[in-house]
Parts: sequence; C-alpha cells; structure tokens
Amino acid sequence: MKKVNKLSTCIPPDLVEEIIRNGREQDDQHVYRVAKRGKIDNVEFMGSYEETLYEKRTFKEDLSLIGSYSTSCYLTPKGPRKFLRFLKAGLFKTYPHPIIIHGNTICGLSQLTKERIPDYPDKEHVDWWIYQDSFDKLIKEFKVFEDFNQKGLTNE
Amino acid sequence: MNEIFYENIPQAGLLLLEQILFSFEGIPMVFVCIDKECNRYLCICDDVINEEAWLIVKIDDNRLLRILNDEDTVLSAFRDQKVIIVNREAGGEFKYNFVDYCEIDPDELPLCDQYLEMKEYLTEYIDKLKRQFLIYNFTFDLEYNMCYNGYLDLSEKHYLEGIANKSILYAA
Repeated sequence: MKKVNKLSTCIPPDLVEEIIRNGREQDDQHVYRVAKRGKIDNVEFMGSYEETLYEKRTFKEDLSLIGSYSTSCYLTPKGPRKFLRFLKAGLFKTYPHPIIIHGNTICGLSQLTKERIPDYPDKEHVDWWIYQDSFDKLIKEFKVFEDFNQKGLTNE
Repeated sequence: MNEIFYENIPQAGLLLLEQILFSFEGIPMVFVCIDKECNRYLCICDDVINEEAWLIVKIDDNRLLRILNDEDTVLSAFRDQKVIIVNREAGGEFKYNFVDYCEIDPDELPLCDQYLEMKEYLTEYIDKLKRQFLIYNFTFDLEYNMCYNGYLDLSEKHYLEGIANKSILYAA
C-alpha cells in the first residue's frame, strides 16, 4: 500500500491523490540532478515549487499540475550538462559551485514525465516526489557525478 | 496571448515571450521575445543561483533559423552586437545595461558556446519562421531585382507585389 501521508506539505491534498496514481516506487532507477549550490543537502532535493519559494523567484508553471511539485531529475547527465553550460562562467570560479549529482530515486514516488505528458520536450526528465523526512537517506545515497571547472571541463 | 517577460526595456519597450527554445526545471533558459513591432530578441538566462540574469540581443529571422537548425551556436547571435544585460536580485526590480559584446566580462558570459540541439522539438516554430522568411534562389526579370547573396527577403511588401505579377519563379 502506498504511503499517502508522507509527501511534501506544500502539495495540495487533491494533487497528492493524483501523484499516487501516477508515481511508483522505483528504488533502482538511476538518475542525475543538478545541485545548484554545489552541496548535497536538503535544499538540493526540494521540489520545483518549493525551491522557487526558497529562492524568492516567481513561479511560472501551473500550480494545478503535479509536475510543479516534483524534484526534477534525468535519466542521463545530458540535460543537466546543457543547463550548466548556459550558466555564466563566473559562477564556477567560486566554491561551492553547481555540480551534477547522481543516485537512485529512493524514498518517494517517481514517473517518467513523458508517460504522463506525451509531448513533453525532454524524454529523459523524471518527476520525483520525495517522502517527507527522507533527506538523511538521500544525502547518503547521492554522490557527486560531475564537477565543472571554469572552462566547462569536468574535474572527473 | 503572449506573456509579458520584460517591461520598459530602454530602446525596446515591452518584450513578450514568443517561444521557449530550451527550459530546465521550468526555467526558460533560452527563449525568444518580441516587441510591439514584432522584432525578435534572443534571450539567455545565465544565472538562477545568485540572482536572475539574462543576456538579450535583437536577432533577425535568418540568424535565428541558423541557431534553431544547429548551424550556429547560441552565442553566435551575440557576437559583435549590442547586448542588453538584465539582472534582478531575489524579489527585486529589473536592472538593464547596454554593452557591446566585446566589452562583456567573460565571467558574465555562458560557460560554453554550445548549440541549441532542440530542433526536433521546435519544428512548428521553425516552420512558422520559415513562412515569414521565405528563402528562394531564383531567376526573374522583375523591375525590382534586389537580391542579397542570392536570397530574397519576401517579407517586404513591395517584393510580394512584384512577384505576384510575374510567373517566372524557381524555388531552390
């Protein structure tokens, strides 16, 4: 039986049901994610809407869609790399700076976005709705995959 | 109706979002805006961490099509151009600066000069631009024989009037 009451409190209750219908537990699914602040901590696993509030940006997506509350990750590092390469070079001069991390989608429900939205423009994007109080496990699960230096080259 | 993306940019005014070319986690990273005269502007979001920051350049359809088709990199549109740099601190107001590309601190430019690599998702937009900028390589004996490197911009009204009266037209 899926855990109904353990998703983020910022998700409207009616959307929780929809997430449970769409997502499933996939502990062996390997994904990549950008850690914008260069650290593997709670903040880096926030869902999109929650993160926007934290960063005091304007949230431009539709709040009636479950994807707005997921933590975005990717089946390969291609999308994250492309994103990082559009960021200004100066961001990579200081430490910590944005990095790519990887791990499995444990402690939550996940879904390939294209399953739910067939014309979604990224076929590797995964929506991951993380259970509350799971961050200690996620911090142990995820590791640094790629660390760009100032020239856009990796330090791996 | 297109969403307002930037208001009151000096010398450009209101810019409406026309097409997102690449987004990441809901953030438009590379996108096209239009002004009230339907001029297009290519925009890159190059900071979402310390603050929000964008580079904006006015772009013609031919150059934009080259970028959409991965014939040129995204940054190629900015070289040798006047660039609008927009910054906004969290919850703050937009600030605008006009700078020649060659004067921009390299630290303020994207980490890499890369191709867009999104054309399979942008076919409708590419077709729309092509319809607006028809490229023909042809021979004709019209009174207005003005060609640019073998191509004619048929978006100009007087060219369309001239061609409508003639039957000699060969598409490339």
